[in-house]
Amino acid sequence: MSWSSSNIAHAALYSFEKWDHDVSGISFKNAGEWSTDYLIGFAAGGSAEERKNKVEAHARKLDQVFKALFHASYEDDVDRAKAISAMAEVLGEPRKTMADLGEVADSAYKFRGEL
Amino acid sequence: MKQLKLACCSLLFLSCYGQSFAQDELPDIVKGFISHKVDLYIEEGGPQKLCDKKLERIPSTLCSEALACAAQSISGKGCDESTLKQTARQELKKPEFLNSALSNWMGQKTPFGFEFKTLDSEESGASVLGLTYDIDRAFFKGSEVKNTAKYIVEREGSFNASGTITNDSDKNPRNFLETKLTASQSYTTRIPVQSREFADQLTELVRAEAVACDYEGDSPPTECLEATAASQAQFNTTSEFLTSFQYLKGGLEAGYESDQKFDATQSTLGIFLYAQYEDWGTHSWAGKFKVTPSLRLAVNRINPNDDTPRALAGDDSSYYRVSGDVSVWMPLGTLYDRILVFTANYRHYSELDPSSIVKDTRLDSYNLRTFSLSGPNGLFVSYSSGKLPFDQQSDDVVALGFKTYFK
Repeated sequence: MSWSSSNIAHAALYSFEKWDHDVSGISFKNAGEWSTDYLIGFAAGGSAEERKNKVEAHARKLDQVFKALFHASYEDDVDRAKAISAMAEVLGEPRKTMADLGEVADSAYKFRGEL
Repeated sequence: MKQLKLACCSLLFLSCYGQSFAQDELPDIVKGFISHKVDLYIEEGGPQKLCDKKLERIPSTLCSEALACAAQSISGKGCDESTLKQTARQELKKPEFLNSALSNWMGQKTPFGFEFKTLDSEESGASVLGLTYDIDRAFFKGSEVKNTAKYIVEREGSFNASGTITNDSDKNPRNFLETKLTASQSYTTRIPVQSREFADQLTELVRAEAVACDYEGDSPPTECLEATAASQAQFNTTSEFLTSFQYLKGGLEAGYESDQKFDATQSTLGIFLYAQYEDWGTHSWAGKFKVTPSLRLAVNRINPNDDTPRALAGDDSSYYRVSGDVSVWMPLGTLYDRILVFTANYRHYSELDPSSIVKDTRLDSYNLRTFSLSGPNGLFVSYSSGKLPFDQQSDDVVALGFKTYFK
């Protein structure tokens, strides 16, 4: 599903990333275009290993935020490793955006509002 | 892919040979009518519209030029075939077209991470077309090995191979292929599971926030700011039970590195440690300034062959290399509707106990520091100085000196 404010996975991602990046005034649409380098907090000039580690950390953080704070569960045929791996794959590609990550999060997690 | 080739060939055929069947047999009045209609069609941007609508897989410039050429040939005016051929040569070699053809052929997720890139070659002073690959496979990954209240402990084994290949390896500015095996253990801060009431409340707040903030334009409406404040207040309460989010990882890595022709090769074996700290509130100086620091340290034993730059300088012995990568990421707020972030990165590589040959040729120590102001969609300004060892250079490295990226 494309980036939509009525999608609870997208809404949860949008809201958490705003809080995590200390941003308040940004539209849902514009935030969907945030780059993955910004989401993971990658510093320009950093090594490929640095990016990989930041990707791993951010994917794990999101997994826990969805599970522990939102009580989301995994979709059928998805487990923790698969969900983290799918998010890490998007986060590791600098040309991808928060909207792309939202699509993966929506496919991997079932949020309470959509149960 | 077949359709794409067919369309390209048809356009070129029409533009080159349309002239022969159009002109000889027709009366002047018909010729004049056709010529007028063709001129009108081209003036109104007909070829471009058709390309955008029906032939979007063909590079836009080539498509519209070929269609215009075909139309002109039919009307008897003819077209400059050499210019068209030149355009075709240029456009069909562009990475954008090749990557799009690759995606159409193999699907969005290309195997082995294949991607075409234009590389600036300092030696030849021109751009060369390169094909990059990046294979990253984990043989065991993401399963918890230990259950503690504070951390999620995981072990991972992975295989990675990456590099850039060009038609002529001597002109390859990234003439470096790397294959690596890694075994690691990581510790991720465990976020305590909250009550169902908390989750329901947070879900409703973020749902309301997303809807209220789904606006057009730059200025957020009051209801968006209010909804944001409400959800952020709920997130802020989490700092009562979580002081920081940390990710720690350490392990062993073994690698094999070479140039494209496998002339210069070296094997590596080493240990590494990575740590990232994010204050989950204002429990420390990092939290007060919203700074996220990270650090990666590694020690590797490198065993080069006789064709590596260091060996060619006169020292082909094995050596130990220490490397470090320190980063700071700090949000600065919003300036003229732009979200600003300051980042700093320092990378250091040095050989332990280098020989005098290596010291004299200045191959023993490298530093690179980069500072930037960036935003959610890329860099605004960067400053970088220093140098990396050849085997650590990559596309990600920012251009040296001051650089602005405003469009």
